[in-house]
Amino acid sequence: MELPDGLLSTACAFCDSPLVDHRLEETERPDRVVPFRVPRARAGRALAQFLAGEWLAPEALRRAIRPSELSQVFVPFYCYDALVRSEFTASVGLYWYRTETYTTTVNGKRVTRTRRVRETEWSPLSGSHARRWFDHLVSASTGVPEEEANQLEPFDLGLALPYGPALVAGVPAELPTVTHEQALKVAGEELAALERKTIAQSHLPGDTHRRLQSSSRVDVDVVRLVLLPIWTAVYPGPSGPVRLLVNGQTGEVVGAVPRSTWKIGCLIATVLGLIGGFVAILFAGTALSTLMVGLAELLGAR
Amino acid sequence: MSELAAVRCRACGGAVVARATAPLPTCLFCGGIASDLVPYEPPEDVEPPEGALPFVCTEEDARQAFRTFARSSFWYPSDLRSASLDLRMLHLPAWAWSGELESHWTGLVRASTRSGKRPVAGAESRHFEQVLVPASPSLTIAELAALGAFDESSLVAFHPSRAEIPYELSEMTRSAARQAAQREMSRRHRAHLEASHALVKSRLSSVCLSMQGRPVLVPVFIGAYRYGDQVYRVLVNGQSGELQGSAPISLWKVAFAVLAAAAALAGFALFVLSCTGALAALGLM
Repeated sequence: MELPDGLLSTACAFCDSPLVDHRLEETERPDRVVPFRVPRARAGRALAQFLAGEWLAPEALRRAIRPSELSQVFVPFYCYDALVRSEFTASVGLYWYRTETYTTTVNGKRVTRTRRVRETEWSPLSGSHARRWFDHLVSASTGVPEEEANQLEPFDLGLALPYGPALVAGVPAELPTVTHEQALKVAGEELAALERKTIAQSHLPGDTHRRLQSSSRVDVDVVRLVLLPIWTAVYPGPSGPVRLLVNGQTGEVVGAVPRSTWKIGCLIATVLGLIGGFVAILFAGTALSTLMVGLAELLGAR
Repeated sequence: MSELAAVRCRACGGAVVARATAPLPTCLFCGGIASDLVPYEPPEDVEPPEGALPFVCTEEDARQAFRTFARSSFWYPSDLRSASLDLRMLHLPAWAWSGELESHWTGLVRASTRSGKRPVAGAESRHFEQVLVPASPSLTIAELAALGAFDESSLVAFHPSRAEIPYELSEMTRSAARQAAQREMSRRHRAHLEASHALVKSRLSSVCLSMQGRPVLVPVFIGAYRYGDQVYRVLVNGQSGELQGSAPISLWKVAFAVLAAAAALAGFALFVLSCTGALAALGLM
């Protein structure tokens, strides 16, 4: 029997018995599998909770407690161990304090006081940073774009098991649709960004910094293909189906929920109304006080 | 030569390998009774020791270290020096790692600027030879650290089948030991860099290259003594003779000190009052 294109394993449509394509296993054999820890019921609850919190979403979508389709799938990810070395230049700021005298009025008298004013002294610095990064994940599926995958993370790869057909049998497991070259490029860019963040947060000396520039060289030690557990849910939305993803290990929900234009319109109208009302009160108050002053002057003149 | 037997204490979990002909009368770590020591099969993924540091101190040196320790504080009971100390030789598990550490550092040095400091940065590689990290499950890192340094250069090959001295079984895996070794190397490298560049503050990012490690054993004397109805444990570094342990505080000495302090305070108060003439005014003098 042939499996649908792009799948390594699935369940038989007729008898629901687990199927694994052993020919594909030889060419695209995954290295590790993270098993599902979130059962169907918990994934459903997580989705309902997530939608309930999205109060700008169309009401029809928020009330859809049950997705029309909730299915589990093993999504392939490339997992990188890499040694990254970076060079950086930055302007490092060190604080110093000067004492300033100023005059002020206290109880109608002018007095001279002193205060401490913080100044920053900037010095250029160039240096380097190195770090070994482990288990950096890049989505190998065009169905789960890298941006969405990053939001779904983290996955605890410490709980991953060495791949065996028994681990994926009965659950659809996708084959990689992103090439090694594409994924490697993404990994390099992401690791360079992580390095830059690490340099900014925990490597630069001093009190503050600006104009940080860094360039990184990524040496990949190990690439593994791992299968990660994901629940996919599809809801009928007003303008096409809405797809949400649930991390099958942590229960984290990710997905772009459409905003109701009607609700946003109401919100804008409310805010504008409030501002308008406030301005009107201000104007009325000013006019009233002018009137009172005028009246008082009039009475005083008499 | 007789068989080796691994036993584990049901009370504290400490696991020791010793000659079957010389079974341990009590647990070396908690003083637990012999019936608590049950046969133990070490886990397969923990590697057996391959090297050992030899003992330099004799048992008499260790006893002398205990007598010095007993005299080291005024608050210890005076008869502590004559307490009967049950002392045994023991090899504790550790890992010895060698490798290259490539450290990229930044820091601040003192300078004649407005803020008094200036940022600096650099990179330096350093080779480390046989860095020891403790792998004993029954002793805390603090206890081992307090034992002071072992001479890592005297490492010799060790064959479990020829072990004469009981040794504790490790439960530390290679990857955990490697991480601990990297932390220790980074700590040493940071200390070196801070000293050599006169850094006020430093930050270090380092990577280990070509790391090689093996499980080894370090020599200690482990001792227990009874004072009152309490058992106290001491450890003596089998190479340097440095001692780490706890001791009871003499309640008599504390009580006497409190009384003495109270008396001194009272005397001082009387002195002040007599100086101001208050006592005379009260008709007491």
